[in-house]
Formats: sequence, C-alpha cells, structure tokens
Amino acid sequence: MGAIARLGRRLLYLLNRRRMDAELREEMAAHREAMEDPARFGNDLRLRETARALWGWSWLDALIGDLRLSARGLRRDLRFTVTAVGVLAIGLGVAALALALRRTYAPEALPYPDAARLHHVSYAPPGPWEPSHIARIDWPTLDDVVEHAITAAPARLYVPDEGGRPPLPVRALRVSEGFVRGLGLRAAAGRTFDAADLAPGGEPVAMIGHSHWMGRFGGDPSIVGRSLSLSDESGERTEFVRVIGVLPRRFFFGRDSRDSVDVLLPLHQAAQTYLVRLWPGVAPTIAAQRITQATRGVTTDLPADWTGVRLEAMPDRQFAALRPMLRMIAIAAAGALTIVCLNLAVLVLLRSLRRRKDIAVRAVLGASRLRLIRLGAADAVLLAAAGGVGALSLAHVLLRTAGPALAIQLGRPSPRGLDGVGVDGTVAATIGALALLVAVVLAVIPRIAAARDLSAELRGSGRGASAGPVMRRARGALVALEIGGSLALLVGCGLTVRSAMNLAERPRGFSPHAVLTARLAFPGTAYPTPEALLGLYDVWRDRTEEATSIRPAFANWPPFAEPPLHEVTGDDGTAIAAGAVAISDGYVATMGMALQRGRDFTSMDRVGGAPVALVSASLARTLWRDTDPIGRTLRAAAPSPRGTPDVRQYTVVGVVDDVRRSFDDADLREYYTSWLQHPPDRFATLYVRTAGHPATWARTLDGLTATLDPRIRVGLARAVRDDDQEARETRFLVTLFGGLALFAVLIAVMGLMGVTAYAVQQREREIAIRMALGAEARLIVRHILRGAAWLIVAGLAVGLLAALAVGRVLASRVYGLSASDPVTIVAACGLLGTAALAAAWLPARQAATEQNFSRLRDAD
Amino acid sequence: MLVLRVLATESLHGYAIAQRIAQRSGDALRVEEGSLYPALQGMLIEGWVRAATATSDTGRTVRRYSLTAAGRRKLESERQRFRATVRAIDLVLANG
Repeated sequence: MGAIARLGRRLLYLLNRRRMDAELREEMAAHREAMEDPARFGNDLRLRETARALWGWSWLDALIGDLRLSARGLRRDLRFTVTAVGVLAIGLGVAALALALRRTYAPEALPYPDAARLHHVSYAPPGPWEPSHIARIDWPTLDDVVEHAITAAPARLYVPDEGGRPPLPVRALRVSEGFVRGLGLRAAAGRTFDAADLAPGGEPVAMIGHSHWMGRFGGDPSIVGRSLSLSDESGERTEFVRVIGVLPRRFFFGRDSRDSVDVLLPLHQAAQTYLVRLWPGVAPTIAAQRITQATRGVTTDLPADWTGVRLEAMPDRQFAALRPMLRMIAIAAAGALTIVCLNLAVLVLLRSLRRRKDIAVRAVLGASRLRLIRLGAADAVLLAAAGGVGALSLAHVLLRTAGPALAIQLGRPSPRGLDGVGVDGTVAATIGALALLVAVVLAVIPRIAAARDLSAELRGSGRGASAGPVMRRARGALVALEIGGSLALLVGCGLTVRSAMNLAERPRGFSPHAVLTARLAFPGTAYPTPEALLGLYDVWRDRTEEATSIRPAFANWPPFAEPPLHEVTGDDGTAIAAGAVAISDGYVATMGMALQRGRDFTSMDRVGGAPVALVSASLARTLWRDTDPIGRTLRAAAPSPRGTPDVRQYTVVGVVDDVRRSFDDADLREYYTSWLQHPPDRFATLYVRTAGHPATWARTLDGLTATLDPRIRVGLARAVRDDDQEARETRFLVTLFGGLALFAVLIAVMGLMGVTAYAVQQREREIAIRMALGAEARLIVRHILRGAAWLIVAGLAVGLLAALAVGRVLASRVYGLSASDPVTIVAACGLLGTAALAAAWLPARQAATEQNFSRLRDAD
Repeated sequence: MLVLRVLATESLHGYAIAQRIAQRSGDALRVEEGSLYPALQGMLIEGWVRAATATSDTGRTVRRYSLTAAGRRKLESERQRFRATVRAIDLVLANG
C-alpha cells in the first residue's frame, strides 16, 4: 500500500517536475534571504541536485540526455540518417505488410467466434447432383459430435415498389436455431432471434443486415420494432415482418465477405445443412463418419461408389487457397528484412568508423566505456524507432490506399471486408518488437568490432591509416553477405516473376478482354411454358441487338471454371470424360474463340431441332484421330445419382480451338451443346463483347428491358476478365516481386557504394601520393575496383548457394522453368554484379579525378 | 525526527522550521541549513509531510509543510526508538 502511494507521489512529481523544481528553488531563495548569514545555507545547486535525485528520476534525465545527444549527432549526419531510416522503414514496412495480410486472412478475422470448430459439409463431390432428402437428417441424434447444425436457406426476396421505383432485390436468408447459436450471432442494435421467434406459428420477425440498415434506413435505430414488407420474385406473395434487430457490421454468410446478408428470417421448414459446429475435441473424421451414416439412413438414391460425407474446417475453406501466396510473401519479407539488417549493419559500422576520432576523444576525456555503449545504443534505438514508425506509416498508407485493390488481386476480400486490411495493434506490436531486435543488433555489432580498435585508435589518429584488420574483415564480410542475400532475393523474385509470366503468356484459346457479363432473371409465372420463355429470350435478344447492335450470347458455365464432366463416346465406342457446356449462337465469336472447321450454332439450333454439338480440337483428336469429325455422332452421358445416366446423342457440326480455363488446365477435352436446345430456365447468364463500361452498358440494358417487360431483371454487369483469378494473382506477383527485386539490387548497390567510398576516403593520402608520383587515374581506379571485385565475387558465391536453396523452396510453385533455372541465375548475377561494380566505380572514379594535391596538404 | 517534531505542533515553511529547531535546541544543533530541503523532499516522498503553497514574510511564494497522519505515526515510533536508545546508552554510562 505504502509502496504504491509512494510510486504515485513519484509519478505526480515526474508530471509536475518543472513546477516542483521551481518551487524548491523559490523556497530555498526565500530561506537564504531571510538568513542573517546566507553562507551557512550551503551550496544551492548541489542541494537541489540531491533533492532531485531523491525522487528517483535521474536515470530518465540521463536517458533523455543520451537521446538528445544522439539525435544531434544523427542530425549532423543527415545523409546517413535518412538512408538508414529509409532502408529500415522499407524493410520493416514490407514485414508489416506481410503480417497485416496474414492477420487479415486468419481465422480470428472471421465474424464467428471459434471458427476452427465450424465445418462445411459436402455430401458429394461438386457436380450436378447430391444425395436426396438430406434435409431430413435428424441432427439431434448426432449431438454427441455436432454441437449445432447451422442451417440456412437463401431466399430471393424483393422490397416492393415504393413510389414507382422498381422492386429492390434483397439477399435474404432463412435460418435455424443452430445458425443463431452455432455462429454466436449478436445484434448491433435490438436483439437476435429467441426460441419463440424461431418456433413455427409465432409473429413473423426479421433481423436486417448492417449495410442494408445503413443504406436503406440511414442507420436509424428506430427501425427496430418497425414492420417491413417483402415480396417474392413474381411480386404476387408479400409477407410482413417486424424488425427485431440489426446484424453486426462485418457479418457475412457464404463464400466470402461479399456475401453479406440483407434480411435474416427464421426458418420454419426442413432444409439442407451445409455447416456444422463440432463439439470441442471432436475429430472431423469421426464427425464425417457419423454424418455419413445419418445420410445413408435418410437417402435412397446413393450411387454404389459414394465416398461419403466430407468435412472441411471453415478457416481452411476460407483461406487454404491463399496460404501459398501468403507464405511466399512472408518468405520474401523475411529475406528483404535480412538484407536490410545487413545493409544497416554496414552503414552503422561505416559511420562508427567515420566517428572513430570523435569517440576516441570522448574516451580520453573520461567517458566510461559504458557511457560510450549507451550513446551507441541511443543511436540504434532512435534509428530503429524512426524506422519502425516509418514502416508502420508506410504499411498503413499502402494498405489504406491499395488495400482494397490488394484484396481484389488476391481474389478474396478479407473477412473484415474490403476496407478491413490494415495495421492493427498486433501488427504494430510485432513490428515494434522487430524494430527493438534490430536496435539491439545495431547497437551490438559495431561495438564488438570497435571495442578492439578503440585504444589503438588514438595512437594512429591523424595518420589516416585504414582501420584495424578486424574492422576491415567485418565490413567486408557484411557487404559480401549483403550481396549474397540480395542475389538470393533477386533470384527468388526472378523465378517467381518469370514463372508467373510463363503461365500468363500461354494462349488461352479465347480472349476475355472487352467481354461483359450479367445475370438475367425472367419472371416465371408470366411465361409458364418453355416455348413462351424461349420466345421471350428471342424478343429480348432481337430488341437488344436492334438498339445496341450487339447481340448478347448465353452460356451455362463461366469461362474460368472447369465445367462438369460427362462421359462421351465416339463412333467406335471408346468412352472418355469431357467437359460439357451449353452455349448459344454467337458465344464463340463473343468470347473470341476460333472455329477451326464446320459451323457455329445458329438460332435455329433450338428445342425441337436435331441435337447438335461443337467439340474442342482435343476432344475431336481423341475421339476421331485424324478423320473429319463433322457429321459424326457424339453420345454423351450426364451422371445422375440413380445410376442410369441421362444419355443423349448429338451430331457434331463444328470444331473449336481448345479453351484453357486455368493456366495449367491439362484437360482440354470439351463439347458444347446448343443453349437453345436445353429447356430454358428463368435465369440466364449473358455475355456481350463491347468496349463500353459495364455500368453504362448495364444502364442501357436496364432501360431497354424495362420497355419490354419491367419484371425482367438485369443483374450487375461486370467485366469477364475480372473473374480471372489467376491473371490477378499473376499481376499481383509480378508487381510485388518485381518491386522487391529492385529493392534487393538497390540495397546491394548502396552497401557496396558506402564501403568503397569509405575505403577510398581512408586511402586518400595514398591515392594522392600515387597521383603526385604520376600514376594514371585509370590505374588507381582499377586498383580500387580490384578490392571491390573480391567482395562482389565472394558475395555472389554465397548468394549462389542461397539462391539454389531458395529455388528448392519455390520448386513446387515454379512453372515452365527449372527451380535452378540457369538463365535467371546468370541474369541475376550479371545484373547484381554490374550494378555492384558500378557502385564501386563511382566513388573510385571520383577519388581519382579530383584535385588531390590540396588534399595531400590538408590531410592532417 | 526533529523536523517532524517541530511540525507536530504547527505547519511551517522551511525557514521557520530551521528557526524553530535552532530556538528549541538553544542553537546547539546548527547544521548547514540548506540540507533541510533534501530532507523535506524525502519526507514528501514517504508521505510524512504534505506541502501547501503560501506567501512568506518577504513576499516570496514558499511551501508550508504540515504533518500527515503517517508522519505523526512515524514521529511517535521514532521518538520511542530514540528514547529506548538513549535509555540503553544511559544504562551503559551509569554502569561504567
């Protein structure tokens, strides 16, 4: 108790130090004045010092003094300071960036507590079917493994017209009690569903999403308790619900954070469950076995080769695809930070060499070794602190401005939303710790080397001789290591960039540039027969073509995803698996695919006509070797769960170029059926080739469609190219690693330039004498370069070993070249070696051409 | 202890404390008067005295020190310890 109070009084004193000191001085002066014999008072200053020391803050004064002195020294050495802080800020900044990305794509970033226990349930491999009746699984019987069955059924609902505006689509989700409890649902305002809300027959209630609340109701808290009306797609059924709460800001449910929820409603019927929360300690394999058994119990149409249910932990599903990329960024950041540290060590070493005399004088004047070490530590702390702050600001600015673009390039917005990538407390703390570590290294390295030379220094002072052999070896080794590190980083970056470009440069078989896509939804009830619906599609397309002179094409599968596989059989009976896609007439031209022979589909290839197909060149080659495939019969069997596949026969009318849906798409065998020959759906995905902006084009289309039938909805138009996840990753990789490679070269050049400049400066006298004796500048330069060349060669040798190790790490990610690709390595060595030689040549040249006689005179 | 004793009866500023000690001791205990101040600072830290700003006779701002409850306890324990020491010394001297 007493100790705490004492500490409190000391802290109070610290905060009011200036006033307290003034008061003390004042009362002492008053005392003196009042005394008859002021001499008996004692030494004013000494007494005040003693009094001040009693409060126990003198160490702080000493520290501030050290820092102030060191700051003054650093300010005088501005070039060094700016370079060191800049380099450190970039190095730590890259580390902060890597850390921030890692934190952003981590389970903790998901809007659900303890997300590692959430598992996705897949009942069958992705494809056209899944076991029937899985909605009937009795989850309570599995409650020894599954804590909550998280059931959610999406619903397309609309907010009905408000004063003539078209109905507003909302993303609605009907959810079970397991959803509310299993996801630990909270309310940002109002409350979440309780048991009564979820029980059938109660008052219809809803929660609304945060962005919906902000966007439609301006964040008005009085929304809680109000009634909303929601209609279905046809606008014929409307339900009224009372809002009881608002979902948290970053809540989402689905693939990623773009799947926000506008309206959450209680689920009153059985629905399929695709997400479960397991009890703590339950192995997913065990749970999968139990769910498999339960599925067998309710399903009647399982194929003989059904492999059972698979579980995938939520964090894996969300982030597994990103992990290799994040790991590469982390490795690159660690590499960059290492060479930054080496570079800083060289810079600090050179500076301490330049300041040898200064330090030696201080030592002679009685500064203890401890004090000298403290001064060095103060330098290191100031540099590291400035570097750390610089790094965090750099990372912050970078993530604030480029964060959303970065998330899009990574192909996955952060679970915290597009603006959720940022520097948080953990990142700041880690960078702080790293900066501290750097400070310790910076404080220690030059001391170890300098301690040996210190006493010898004064004796040799003024002679201008180079530093002791220990120092020379130390800085030589550091620079060589730095060059080696840079080479390793450069080779790593080079391999990554070249591999990415190799992948990106392969011909795709189609060109997605300037192609827009949008989703089209036709009202179902107004066009009940397939013929009526097909007629509507025809009219819609004709109208669009008349107005914009672009004829939209349709396809049932997006260009950057592998289509479902069907078993196809040629005339001779060989059966193979091939991708099946339905495309309309005009799609081949819209996508920029090339028709090799035969014809494209026409609008006459429709329901009721003879079934026709296009085949990819690879499929044609496999099925019919060198013979002409046109006019041949293709039998295709779509898999069905009941074991009796749906077999159809088509006449081949054309052959198109192979389409590479991903960079390393190996299976290029595909066949295309006519979209108009499939019974039409109310939903369709359209494609148009136009240079226009998606938004402009969508507006045109909206207006056009409204005149035809206002109930037809055109979804958000977007560029097809944006769906190309791999191209985005490639651009990102090339930018990031290209930048890092540049940084690596820059660092190596800086290190060597500094060391050579110092060596030249040390040998000023020698050079001047040689010049005076008639040596040619060329010879002097060559002489200096020879010394640098040894460092470069040693560095490159070390780097070569490191580069081979880096190549081995990258081996699985490198495409189209060997992990120890000689071209990359030789190019990197050449680039780095040339840059390093230039870095040594510049100061050497300068030394040899300057007027040296004056220096000879002034050298002492 | 002397300072505490002087402050036990009234609150005083530095010069007055020195005066009072000199008076009470009959000028026998005269020290360098300035050393009073580091001692007072120490007592402030320990929480035995507290200070309040006041104006001196010469018109300067000075601090007027007064005893706290902790200070009173400290004075009492110090006084007892001192008496015990003196008694012990007395005993030694008497027997000698």
